Amino acid sequence: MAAAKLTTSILFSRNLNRLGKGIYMCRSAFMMRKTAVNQLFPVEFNQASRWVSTSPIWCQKDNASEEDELDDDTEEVKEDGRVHVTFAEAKAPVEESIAYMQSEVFKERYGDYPVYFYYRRNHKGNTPPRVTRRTCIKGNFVTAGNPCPICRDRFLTVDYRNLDLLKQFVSEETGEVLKVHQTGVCRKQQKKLIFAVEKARDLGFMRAPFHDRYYNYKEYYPHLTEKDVVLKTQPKPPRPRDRRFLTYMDMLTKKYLREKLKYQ
Amino acid sequence: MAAPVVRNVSITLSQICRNCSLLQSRAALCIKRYSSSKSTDSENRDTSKKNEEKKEKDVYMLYDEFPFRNGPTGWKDKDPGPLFLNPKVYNSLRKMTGFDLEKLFPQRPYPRHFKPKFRIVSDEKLQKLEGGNMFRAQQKLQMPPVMLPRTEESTVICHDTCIAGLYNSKMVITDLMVNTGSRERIIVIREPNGVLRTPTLRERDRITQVYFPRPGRTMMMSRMFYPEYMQGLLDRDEHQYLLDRACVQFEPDDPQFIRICQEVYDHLYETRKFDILRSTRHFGPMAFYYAYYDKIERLLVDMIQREFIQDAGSLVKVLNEIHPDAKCAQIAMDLTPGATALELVKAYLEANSEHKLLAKAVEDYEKLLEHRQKESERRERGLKGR
Repeated sequence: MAAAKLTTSILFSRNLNRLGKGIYMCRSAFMMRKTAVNQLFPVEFNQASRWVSTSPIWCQKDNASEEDELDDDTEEVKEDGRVHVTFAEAKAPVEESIAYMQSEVFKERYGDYPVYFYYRRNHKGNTPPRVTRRTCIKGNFVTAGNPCPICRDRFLTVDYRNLDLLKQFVSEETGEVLKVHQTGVCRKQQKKLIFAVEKARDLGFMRAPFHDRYYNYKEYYPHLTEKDVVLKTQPKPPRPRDRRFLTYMDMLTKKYLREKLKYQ
Repeated sequence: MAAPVVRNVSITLSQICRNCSLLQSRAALCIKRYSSSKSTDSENRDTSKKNEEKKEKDVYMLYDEFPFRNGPTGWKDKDPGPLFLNPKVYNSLRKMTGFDLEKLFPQRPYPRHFKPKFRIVSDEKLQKLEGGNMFRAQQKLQMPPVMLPRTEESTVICHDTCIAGLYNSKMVITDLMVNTGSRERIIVIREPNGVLRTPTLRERDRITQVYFPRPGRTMMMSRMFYPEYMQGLLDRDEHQYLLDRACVQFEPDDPQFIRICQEVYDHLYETRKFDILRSTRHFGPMAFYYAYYDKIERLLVDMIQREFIQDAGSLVKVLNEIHPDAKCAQIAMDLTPGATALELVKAYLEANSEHKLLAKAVEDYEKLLEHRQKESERRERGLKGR
């Protein structure tokens, strides 16, 4: 029972990300944490994951997490009279973020453009690397020199309720989340975006792209014959293209194209 | 019993069954979580037995218990299928839906391989292509079938007790022939206790989704079809999106599909926003639902106010076909065969005199017609005078 108590205190401690060596995760816990289903349908940690720590600090007490004092938001008034605020957490809560996206400050900073529009990555050479950095934020500290468009602004939290932010990262033409090389966000935030968009679509807050559904009335009303007026007036459904099985015509066209390229 | 002839068989061992059981366990977790989250609300912390019973009933079990607004099936005793397929009913419903090209072909996200093509084309070719668009619009206006909800039955083919206990999981054996429909496909389930049985229709949908996945369909129902999230969608006027997604996700005889459709129609009846579904494929089934339950007056008022009198007449026709024993049908029988739509609506008013809004709407419409006629006569006189 002591071991179980230890595990819960570690999992719910807010300093988890600051720990480096000394934590060994069981494989199942690692996999469960990373799967998309867990993001959408989070399982209680007590059931799913098992953490074992060898650090002497964590082996001491069960209430270690409660004793830790996180820095609160501190304010410094400088000589000019400016107020410099250092925040405890790198990202604001969702409600603040939603209010921020509607505020004048946001409009001043970004105008009518999406949040990633005026962001430029720093890299060697002409073309940027296809892949962005893994994270800009480690623990509660921004460790990158040129943080990505989401991490650089404390009030942009990626959440399934923050639809204004999510819609900026979803293409209007295809309905897909924009790729990392188009927006410049770090990979961790990209994953969060994908999960948040999927969750919002699952709950109906955002629209998902879908194909039309055509019915074959004979399947559902098998007593109908071809003489019935209802069947006669049914429009023909579009030909379903099952691309695993190439038709004779598909093969002909591919062959024709190959031969055409030969002679060009 | 002769064994069925089966081609292109894929015998899936515990892989498929494990996935099915995993999904079931996840579904069970969802149900547990839903029930636990409901029960941990600060308002519902009573531990009395009555409240526990109530909580069990309020819990929304996937596919097992769901609230139908109109009785255990959503429909009354009459089977809606044959009524829907009556050519008079069907044709009048199709006429009523309307035709708005902008609503049928909206600006909508499409997958990447549907790239737009720009071509320079002659006038004749343009006419041909526009004809193609009309054909595609008729495809989009195809009404989803109206049916009673299905019953989940599976017949036992045989019971081999000698095999019992060999495997821990069920085995699903499917025939993967390409052009067979999902209902005709030969699927068979072997249970660990040795029973060989046919699948229920719910299992059949899941199994065909594994091998022949329909794009847009998920194994587990999206949470936006749950009652609490659906209410949010309805408040945001996204009825068409909800119903289109439901058409993709469910079969038309799935009880979930019927529940969703009827909740949407009831919400539209209460808020009187019938125009949202006009010129979509869902308008016909909606009008059929109102006619089936004798609540067409609000829709009639809406049609008359928008001057769709022909549609109002055809709606009364639909009502008379579904309820031929009612007063309205008998009054309509006495009318001349060449009766206009307005006369049909007045016949309905005669039979159901308590609908004052409808009476007022008809009065106002007649006044409008008179006013227009007078104006046109005045113009003619003015022109003649000059």
